Amino acid sequence: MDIYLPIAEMAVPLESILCLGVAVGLVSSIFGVGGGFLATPMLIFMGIPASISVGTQAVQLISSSLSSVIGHWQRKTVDVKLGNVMLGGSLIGTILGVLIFKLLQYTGQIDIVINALYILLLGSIGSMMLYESSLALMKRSRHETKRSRFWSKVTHKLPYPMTFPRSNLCISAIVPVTLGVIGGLMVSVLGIGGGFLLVPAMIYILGMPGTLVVGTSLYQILITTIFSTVLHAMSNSSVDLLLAMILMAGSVVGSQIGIRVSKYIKGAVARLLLAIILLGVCFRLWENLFIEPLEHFTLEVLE
Amino acid sequence: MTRISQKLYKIGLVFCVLFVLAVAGANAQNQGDIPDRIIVDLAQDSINVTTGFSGSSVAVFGTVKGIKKNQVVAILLKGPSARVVAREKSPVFGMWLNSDSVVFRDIPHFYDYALSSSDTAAVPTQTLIDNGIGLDTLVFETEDKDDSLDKERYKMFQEALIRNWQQSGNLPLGPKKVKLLDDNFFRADFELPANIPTGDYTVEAFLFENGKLVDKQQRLLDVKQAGFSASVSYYARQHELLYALTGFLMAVSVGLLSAALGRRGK
Repeated sequence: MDIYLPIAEMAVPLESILCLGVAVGLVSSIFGVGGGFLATPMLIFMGIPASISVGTQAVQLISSSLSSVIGHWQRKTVDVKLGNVMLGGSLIGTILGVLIFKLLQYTGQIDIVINALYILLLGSIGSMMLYESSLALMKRSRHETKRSRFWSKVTHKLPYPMTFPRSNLCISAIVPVTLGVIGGLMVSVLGIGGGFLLVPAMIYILGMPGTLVVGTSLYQILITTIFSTVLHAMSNSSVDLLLAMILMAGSVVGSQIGIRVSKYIKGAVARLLLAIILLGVCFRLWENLFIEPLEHFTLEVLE
Repeated sequence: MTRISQKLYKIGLVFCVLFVLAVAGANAQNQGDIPDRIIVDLAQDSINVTTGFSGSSVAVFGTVKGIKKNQVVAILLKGPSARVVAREKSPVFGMWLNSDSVVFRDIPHFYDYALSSSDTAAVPTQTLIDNGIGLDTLVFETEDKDDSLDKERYKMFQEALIRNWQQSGNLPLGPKKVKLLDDNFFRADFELPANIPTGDYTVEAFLFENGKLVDKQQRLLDVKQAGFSASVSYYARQHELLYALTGFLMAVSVGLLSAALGRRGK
């Protein structure tokens, strides 16, 4: 059954959007990532304009990150002060991202830039995760969660030191703000929360305790996606709420299944599976960019 | 009353009668070779694009009194114009990137036509072109100021646009058929694809006789978003903040629901 999207002004098969939502819910509840990396490129494949895919995905990210933040808030595993400092950066990043997005749209390269960035991001994170998790599975060694010496040396000399009592940290404010900018850019340009990049960065670069990392990054992602949604809706009305609703409905179902399945998939096995999924999506995008298309010309109707 | 005035009155009366008769006679003569007229109407004056919209058919009905062998009926359905950019992908270090692009102005976002006879003897191609019927009549005006692309390259972009839109059903592969129901009535059917833009569509009906235009008529078809779909797009464009807030609240309630369900699942 086809459904007509009022903002995208096109009809798409309802079943495939629902399935995509279920997949996003499954992935996010099993692996604790937002699932945006799956949804945004798939929406673009379906022919939905990149701006609407990214803008709409931000709405879905609000709902998925909120449900996890609630849990972390109750368990008190959120460093609010550090999160707020990061947010300062991510608000700048979001505004910057929306501007970059408009510029790329104007030059007609948006789909290709998004495609290439996804390949880069998913490829590198996926292969790193694959290497790490297979090593961990073979040696059955504990995953190290320590701040790397390199980053502690680099960040030591930066000005504006701040203390974060909850994380037991004293670090220059520039570091979390920079991470926030990157997070904001990812939300507004790529339509992903960026948890899978921010979480390791917060461990290795900030040196945060592992117990606080996920909650804090999700808190930061939640506020950033809210801001991004408002900005996308206000600046280029690229949020399709009907599409968002269908995606969210699917992801609620998917996450309920995921929660029950996740008891059996843990630790290194989960990371290995996630790495395979990341690389799979990356390969699909790679094909898109590197294999000669049947039709060399594409059309776009301008406003 | 004097005699003279009575006479004048009589003469005046005679002239009046003569004048009326002359006018009536002229009219009667005109009626003899009054040109045939074409009258068309649409089964629906408007098309509602709702949430369940997956394309629509447009039926055009019409009549010509006693359609003769040397007469041809043509119906043209045209959508609102759009600015369209065609981009070419070419390999750069193995990656297929968008390279050249051409912006075309005022291209009808939908265009289709139907003829009662494809016999070129009945309607010469030139007559059709003169009346704006057929894909060859689309004017591909570009927006680019610099003429860095030569004519052959432009032609490639033009052809690409036509090819892409023929595939999506926005442009026809060839003329449709005007079905003659009997000697007086005819109908033509068109299919609008799901991706059509909203706006004013025009339906033009032409009657050709011996290859010459005899009569034509125009109708409007209003294609608009309706129902839930229309209100979503209205709020998204007119009340952006309220729209964003609705989206936020929607996401929050789904998030809360998901969290509540999740707790029960554990």
